[in-house]
Amino acid sequence: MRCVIHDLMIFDDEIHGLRNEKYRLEFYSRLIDFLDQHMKP
Amino acid sequence: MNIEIPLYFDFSSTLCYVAHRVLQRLDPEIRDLGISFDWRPIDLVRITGWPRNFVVDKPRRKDILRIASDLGIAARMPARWIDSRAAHTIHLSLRGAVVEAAWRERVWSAIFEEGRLIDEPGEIERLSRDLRADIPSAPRRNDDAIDAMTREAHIAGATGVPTFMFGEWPVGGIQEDHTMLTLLQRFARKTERERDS
Repeated sequence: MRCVIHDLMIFDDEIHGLRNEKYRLEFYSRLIDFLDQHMKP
Repeated sequence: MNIEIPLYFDFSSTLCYVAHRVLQRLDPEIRDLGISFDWRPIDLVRITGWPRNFVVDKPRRKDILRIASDLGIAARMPARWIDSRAAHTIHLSLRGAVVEAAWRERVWSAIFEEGRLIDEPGEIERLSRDLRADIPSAPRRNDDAIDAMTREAHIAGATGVPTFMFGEWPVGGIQEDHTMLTLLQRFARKTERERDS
């Protein structure tokens, strides 16, 4: 099982992290999928 | 309701220090959710294959410090990945004790605020003495216990640190306050529902 979110946050390239809009969108999209699929209340 | 979330960490990791600080400021909300963390120290280089004491390259360093800054945390990141096994040994020996949290605070503030290298001779003993608690000043390093915890994390799916275990799901990294709280709230509600059914 792969770690769910870690890889999107760090280490891909120099322009990464919360301020980068492309990664930010990708990150939150993946987060929403995770919440919908596995963390439904 | 009491929900305990296993949290794999390595004292050497700047992101783990950032997580430590972010979770501290979110502590009232986290307590309200009935959530606590079971901090489990691992030797991350055994999972990643990084050489011990490797020098963190500039892009990676910049990235990590940017994330810390984005989350409002100042950190003096060491130039190399320090060997945290002695500090982990003490943490494991304190598991569940009141002083366990104080040990995390002492070690992390030493590294990331005071700029100390905890794998240099005498440092761990000095940090133990600082706490004036019942901490062995120079315990024999327990690599077997650390390896066992690292294996457990690896099997659970941790590929980095910090890794939060939301049930069977490993969730890595530290996120913005609102995102962390959303994740924790969802997990608390899900756990509550499962316990009720």
